[in-house]
Amino acid sequence: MPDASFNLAEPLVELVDVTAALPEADDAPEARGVSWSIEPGQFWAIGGLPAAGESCLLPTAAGLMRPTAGVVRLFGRAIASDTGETELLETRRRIGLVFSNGGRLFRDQSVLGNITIPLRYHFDLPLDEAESRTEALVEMLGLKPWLHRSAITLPLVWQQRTALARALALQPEVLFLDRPLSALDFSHRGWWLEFLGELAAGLDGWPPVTVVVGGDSMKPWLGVASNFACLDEGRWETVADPAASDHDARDVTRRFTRKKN
Amino acid sequence: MADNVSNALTDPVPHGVVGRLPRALLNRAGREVIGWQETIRDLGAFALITFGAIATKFGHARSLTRPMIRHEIYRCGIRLLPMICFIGLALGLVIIGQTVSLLTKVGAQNYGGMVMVSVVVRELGPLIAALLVLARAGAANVVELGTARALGEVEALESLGIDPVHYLVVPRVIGMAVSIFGLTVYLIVVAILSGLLFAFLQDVPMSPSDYFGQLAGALLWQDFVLLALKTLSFGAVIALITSFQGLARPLKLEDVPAATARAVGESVVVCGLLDAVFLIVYLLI
Repeated sequence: MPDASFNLAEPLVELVDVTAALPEADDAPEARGVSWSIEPGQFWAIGGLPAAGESCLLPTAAGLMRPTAGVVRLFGRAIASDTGETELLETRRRIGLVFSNGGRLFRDQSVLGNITIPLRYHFDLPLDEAESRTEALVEMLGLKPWLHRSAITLPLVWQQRTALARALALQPEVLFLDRPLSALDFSHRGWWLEFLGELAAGLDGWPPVTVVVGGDSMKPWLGVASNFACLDEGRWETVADPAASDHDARDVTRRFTRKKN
Repeated sequence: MADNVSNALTDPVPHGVVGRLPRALLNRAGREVIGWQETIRDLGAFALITFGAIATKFGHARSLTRPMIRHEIYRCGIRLLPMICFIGLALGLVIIGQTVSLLTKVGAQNYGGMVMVSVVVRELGPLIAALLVLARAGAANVVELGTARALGEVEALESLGIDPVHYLVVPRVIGMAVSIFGLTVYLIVVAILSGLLFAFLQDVPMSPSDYFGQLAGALLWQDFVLLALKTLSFGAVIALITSFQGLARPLKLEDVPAATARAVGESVVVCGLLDAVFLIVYLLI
């Protein structure tokens, strides 16, 4: 388990009193008043029900969405509402983001095509060279048997792993994962927990990657993550002792008592 | 009964109905005008962003974008060649068939070539090629991009630091513009040859050398320049509008058919307006 306090360097990502919401939906849940600092070497696990505002918080922290209020700093640079898209695109190369539910793979591409797209785009590499550069990553993630299959014909668990490989292709410094364990069976959950733990500690030939995962519960990440927080109906709370936290129990209660409109 | 009818005819219409009807119509018209104004503004901004991406990132990621441009040219151009040849064949037969028979009656058969140039080269050729590409590839473009947007693939591209306009729109704009230019050239060549074939089959008193001489005499150098400009701008406009409707607004899957219909309608209108602009230019030269 990575040590939460080993690095006192400048935060990679910093949120100051941020409100994050999906721009196209007025009634969508939002995360409010989030002040959060992600430092190198940390492994954050964020808990919260699906409608708790987490789906907009992670993309906002990853620089994909602009905050509706507050300040987001990526690698020390503030993201304002007028920050140019080109500037943001450059910053995003240092951040990986794995979406939930199959990872939003490109439907017209094979697994190999999906994984190599970032390398081919940013380094203008031909396919065979990009393939050789990602060979170790593909091997590590067990994707070799699926490599030439159309990405969307894969089982969901392998689509999710392809999305992880795609996000890691550029060797990001910070990796955000939105509900990586949802829709996974027991064996795959074990693989993800082990792999992400190793990734944060530093895989062979890889520098340690700062990891942030979101999910319904913080409990699966006990022993893997170093820092914990939860979104309680949009409100941000850091959790010092997740094992003793009643957050999951509150969420379970809320799940059963929430009235359907 | 007669009294009732006369009362109905002479009674004033209630004030509320009179007041409501024009106001409702005005509101509707106002909303339409504002909607069009917003679309034109957003489309203009989208076009500027796209041309900016073409200018600033032209050589970027060539190994990825060039195959995509080739694919677009295949999809919008080469695959439509049989169809365009068939239309060219029919067009040549119809135009020469109709005009030569009419011109012969008035002893003006020497103007056949001029009619061919005016109708096929300047007007119908580019327009037909553009409408065919719009129907076969433009509509598909909205569906592809709209679905990609609705399924979050555009955000996935952005999360990888990839500019969606450069990756998704630029190859389509270049591919469609080149395709419409190429298809128009093929359409014109086939129409001219099929016109000659018809003249030969119908024993029209016009030799091939006369026919080609008339065509050469009617064609100006400006025709070639304007033909290229017109077809390239038709292609760019169709690609921009279909990409804009698919990409630029947040969509749900169920919105994609409506966006497709909107894109086709807007493309037809804008191509018609562009055609009118080029017509004025032709009239001025």
